Amino acid sequence: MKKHPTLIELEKTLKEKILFLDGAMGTMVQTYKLGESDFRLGHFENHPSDLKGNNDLLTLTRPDVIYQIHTQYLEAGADIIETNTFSGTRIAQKDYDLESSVYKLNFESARLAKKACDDFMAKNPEKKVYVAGALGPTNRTLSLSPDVNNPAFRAVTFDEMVENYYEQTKALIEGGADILLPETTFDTLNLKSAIFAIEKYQEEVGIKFPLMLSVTITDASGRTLSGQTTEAFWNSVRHAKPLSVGLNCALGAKEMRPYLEELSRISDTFVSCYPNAGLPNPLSPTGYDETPLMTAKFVAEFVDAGFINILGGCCGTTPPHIEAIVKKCQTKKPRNLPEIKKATRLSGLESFTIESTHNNPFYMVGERTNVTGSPLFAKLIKAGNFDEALSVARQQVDNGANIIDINFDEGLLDSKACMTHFLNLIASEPDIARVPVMVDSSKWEVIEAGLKCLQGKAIVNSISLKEGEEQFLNHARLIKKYGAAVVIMAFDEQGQAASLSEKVRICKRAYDLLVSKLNFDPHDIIFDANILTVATGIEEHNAYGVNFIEAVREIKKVCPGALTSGGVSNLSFSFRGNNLVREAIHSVFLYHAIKAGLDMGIVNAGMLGVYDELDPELRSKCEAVVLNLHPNATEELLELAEKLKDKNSNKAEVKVDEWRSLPLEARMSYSMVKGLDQYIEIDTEEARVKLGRPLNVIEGPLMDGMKVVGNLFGEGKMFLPQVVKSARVMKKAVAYLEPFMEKEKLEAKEPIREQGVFVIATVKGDVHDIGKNIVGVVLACNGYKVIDLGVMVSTQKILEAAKTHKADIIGLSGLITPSLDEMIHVAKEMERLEFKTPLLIGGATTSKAHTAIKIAPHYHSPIAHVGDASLVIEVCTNLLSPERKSDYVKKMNESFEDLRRRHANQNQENVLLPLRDAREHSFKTNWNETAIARPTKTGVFTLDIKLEEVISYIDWSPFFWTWELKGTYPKILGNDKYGSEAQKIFNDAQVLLSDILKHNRFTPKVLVGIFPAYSHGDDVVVNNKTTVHFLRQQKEKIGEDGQYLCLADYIAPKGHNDFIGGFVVTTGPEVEEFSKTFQDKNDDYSSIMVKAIGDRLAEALAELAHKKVREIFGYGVDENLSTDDLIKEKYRGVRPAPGYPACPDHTEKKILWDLLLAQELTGVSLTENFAMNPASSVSGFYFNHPEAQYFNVGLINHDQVVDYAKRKDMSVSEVEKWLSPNLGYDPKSI
Amino acid sequence: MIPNQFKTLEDVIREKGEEWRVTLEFARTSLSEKYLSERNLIRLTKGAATIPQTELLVKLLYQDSKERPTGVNGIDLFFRVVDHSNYSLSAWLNAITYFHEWLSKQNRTTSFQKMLGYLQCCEDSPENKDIDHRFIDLVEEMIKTHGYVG
Repeated sequence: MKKHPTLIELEKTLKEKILFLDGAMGTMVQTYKLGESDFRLGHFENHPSDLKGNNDLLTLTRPDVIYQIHTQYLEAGADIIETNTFSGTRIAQKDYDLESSVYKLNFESARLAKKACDDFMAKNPEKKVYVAGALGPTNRTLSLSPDVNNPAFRAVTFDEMVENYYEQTKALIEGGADILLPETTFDTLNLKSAIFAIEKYQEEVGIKFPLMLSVTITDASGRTLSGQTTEAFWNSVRHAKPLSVGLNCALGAKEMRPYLEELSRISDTFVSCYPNAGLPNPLSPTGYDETPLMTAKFVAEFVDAGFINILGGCCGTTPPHIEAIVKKCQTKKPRNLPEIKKATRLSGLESFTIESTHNNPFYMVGERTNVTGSPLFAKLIKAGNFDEALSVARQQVDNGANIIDINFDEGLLDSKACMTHFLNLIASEPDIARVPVMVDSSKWEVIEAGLKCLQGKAIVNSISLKEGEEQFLNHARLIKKYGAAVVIMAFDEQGQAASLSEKVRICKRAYDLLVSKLNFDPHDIIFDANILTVATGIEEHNAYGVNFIEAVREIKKVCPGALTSGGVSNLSFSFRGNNLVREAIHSVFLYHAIKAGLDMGIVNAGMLGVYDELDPELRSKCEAVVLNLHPNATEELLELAEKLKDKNSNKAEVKVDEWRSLPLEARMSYSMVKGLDQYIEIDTEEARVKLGRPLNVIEGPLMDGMKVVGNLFGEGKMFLPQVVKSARVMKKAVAYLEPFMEKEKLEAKEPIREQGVFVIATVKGDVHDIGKNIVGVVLACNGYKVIDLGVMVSTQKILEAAKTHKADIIGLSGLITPSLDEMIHVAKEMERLEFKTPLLIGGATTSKAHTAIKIAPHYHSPIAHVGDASLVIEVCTNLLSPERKSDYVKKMNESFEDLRRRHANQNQENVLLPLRDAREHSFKTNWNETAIARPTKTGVFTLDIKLEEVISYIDWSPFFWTWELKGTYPKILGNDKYGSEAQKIFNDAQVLLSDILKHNRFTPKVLVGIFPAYSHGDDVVVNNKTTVHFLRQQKEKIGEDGQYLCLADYIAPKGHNDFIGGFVVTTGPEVEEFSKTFQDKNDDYSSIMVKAIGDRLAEALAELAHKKVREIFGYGVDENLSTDDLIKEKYRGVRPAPGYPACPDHTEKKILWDLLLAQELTGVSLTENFAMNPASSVSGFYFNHPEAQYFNVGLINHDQVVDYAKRKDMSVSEVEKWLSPNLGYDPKSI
Repeated sequence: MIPNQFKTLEDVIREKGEEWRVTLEFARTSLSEKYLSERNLIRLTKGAATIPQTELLVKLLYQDSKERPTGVNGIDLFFRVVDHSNYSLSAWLNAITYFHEWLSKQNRTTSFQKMLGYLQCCEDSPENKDIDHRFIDLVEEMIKTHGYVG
């Protein structure tokens, strides 16, 4: 389909400048104070019902008024005016019995607007203006029922909406509209029907017109009226490939900001915004509060923030509003289109993204809402008990299904009606509708009926080449038009693919057809290469399992971007009635298929056995069948299955209760490993009574259970959904214990004096707070009222608290480098919201220079850097003293200016080698002659390390640095200046440490992974699947024999059987809790002491864990180093951490987390800025090369950033953001 | 490409000027090959912007060779430190010169090793996170804020 020339022109113009839309039509019409006769004049004189208020009619009855309004907006500076057709559909005009006038209304309206544009351009030949044909949302909604008693009812159908929008589209374009603008979308499904109609029209005329989409976020919930988040909305409609997407109506600019920011971040097209003139105010002449200057100021800030390409106004805005907006923004730069990472982007009410990386976890498609797979569901549906059937869907989502498969293919059911009814019901259930739906049917009409009910981006399951290419492409074309992803079955005209080569051939053929003929997004394609039944007794069926597994591996290679899936139950159909064997077969099969790259599967997580827990004989016989290891595999499994069946049937009656008779600890462990939450609260209560304290329950049976789960998963013997279920059981138990733990805490007391109010927070994305707490203590000791907002605090919360508490000073803290950007964001927001409160910046990565150069230019009220808690009082006293403030701020600004000048004038002092040359001079190893250390154990596992063991591994020096005592342990204890104080806090630390040990206050976790790995350039491929990315030094070395190091150099290339390790250790969340008990008692000293000790213990855990890992590798067995030498890292091997000098990219932590399933197994999560939470945690990689050393990657050049971005499938700008401290160039200069 | 290296001291003199001959001879006579190989002397000269800088470093290396006749020799340590740092050899020489001058004004001296340690601290200072600084500015800032004990 060719692009309309206007589309090409607008795409070009929008890259160069901001375009302006007009303002409200209704508001302007009101000012004419028209009467009933004006709405009838010359056209509807004898119409039987009242017409006043039907503004669309004025195009025909008072074209002079509408023309005048258009002209006023054009003269105010609008580049695009909207037609007067907000209600120009049969549905909307039905209220006035004017359905027959719809075409004319739209056609004439477009013609009138076009005339206004032509007349304007004749007078202003230098300016090009456009007509946007407005398509309103109608007064019906496809996703919601107007009848509260009948949630499945809809007052309109998708097809009716399409019909309506098609007529409107045709009339608007034929009347002369340049652009189509479906706007004020409160229900995404309505918009999807408009998109469908527009595409239908475009296909007919063979031209793609400019399409602008605009959604309405109704209130502070940040959702549309039909419940979608901004990202879910965009995922639902992005298939339309619009010229722009944006927000309008309902909110004023100020309230719209967060959603606009989000849309600007996620959309790869131009962004528009036309807000209301503030909030409604019936006393205002326009009905809204904001004056033109106020609105202009708000939207100008959007432009400055880089959010905007198209600006205008909605309800309450007038030509003066548009004029003010144009004046303020016309010379500003438009938003640059961001590079958005390729991914499968689905949605329900919330978005669900599957990124195309090698590290994808396995996603579970819930299969219980399938009448062919679930007898219970089938029974409920056949009985018409849809309400009960909904609970099946809810259960699946609650159990962790990422997507739910819905199928009504049963001979006795009206599948199409069932699909529509059930999906309409689901739409009213937010806890179910939040996940994407897989519409499953072999009948196209059922699939289509399903797609017409879903506002989110769904998956069609499935289509195939069975009926030939033409029908395949027709269906795929429609799926694309409905905006869904699709499962393609490996079928073609010859039938179902059973062999490996056939599966791959058919999938590749389908892929090529979709991508080349329909321009189908590869990420929206999911192949199901047919999981066929094995062990049927027919010899040729024996290879079905292994064929599927190998096909997955191959399809992932030859169909880039596409995902793979499969219905697992089929595989074991021969063993129906014998669930024990079926579960075992499924577990064995998935174990191998996921390794081969299977992305998702239709499975019942409750029916999966734990790979490692399978009876060894059963597992080995299942493995033989699934992988077709020998010709007698089926016979042997059948034989065993018979035995097991007899055994099970004899015990069937008592089986359920058998495990309930086990001892308490074993029962709890069983619940966790099996993911059963039915009895966990009963057992937890029993444990609480038995063990005396809730903490003992967590530290005891619950953690023991999680350790078992962690080990099984680490060794690849449990699957992600099972682990998630186990974690949920754990959470349920902990939640049960929480009220009891709360009771153990004591009441807090209030501080007394107030010198000023100081609001302090660790910024969003960061969890480190020791420094912040110290500052808080220092301030409180000096009479300040300190409002400590804690960690990971959003800008909005900080500023709201500052207002609420009437803060005299705001303090921001952060430890990791990404926090620096967050601080800039706070400063910008303070400026935007016209704060005058002094802002203090502190934390380990902050600096005076950074404050002066990067933060201060964004905030024009006083801003200071506090590098040391001891300085904070001086700074605050000066800032709050009426006499001294002015001089102090002046001096500070001068010193900032000096730093900025110095920075601007500095010359580049370094030579950076081209990446190619640096690689040529890498660290080289003769791998054939190097003894590669081989571990005695691989996989992911936990190390059982008790805190007592790690005490001697504590490096105490940083403990003193926390307290700002400079020196190294033990010398500091004898230091003239600090010695006495150092000895005091050291003694206190020992007392506290003894208490921690005595009462088992912390539950340390040590998670380790050792994996086969090989280097591939500067990457390391782990487990043949996951890629870890490293950076190489580029700063020119002094000698020509200098080596330019990269951590990948320490791993052998393919074929040498090398290994890499990874670890996450934590002292546990109890550090925070224990610290808080002191904080609650106003004992900040002990509170900070606890955290400082927690950090030391985490580092010591890492040290001891590394020692144990070196022993696992053998070379550490005879190490025999003193603790001091260990602390000085005099051993072989290194354990660099992502985010630190040798691998400075914090985002690599996510890969490490996925590899180790760190969050599930240690409870340590990553914030959006990749800080570890709890803060007393350490992570990193293990390298065993005999010559491995720590180094600093240092400055890198643009060539490496580009290369790295490509390797990581990230945009260059994103890499530049994360590696900002390492950039050897100014990104703006590229 | 890795820039071409000078091959001999004569190449250096040819490239940088005859006035360097005396300095190179001074270096050669002050320090034996063991403490400053010809190759390292060429590398040092290449990075040095001025004759006084080269002479200062030769003096510091000489002093170091007397203080620590065994162990890693001064120039190897220095080059290792520079290679580990984000700053170039020339930036390091400027920083050493600045620090030495500051010490001289106070009638103080320090060992070459301690000097390198202090300058490494300057590079690692929080001020040097996320913002590029001239090395010499960092040293100046560090001295101003914390002074030097040693």
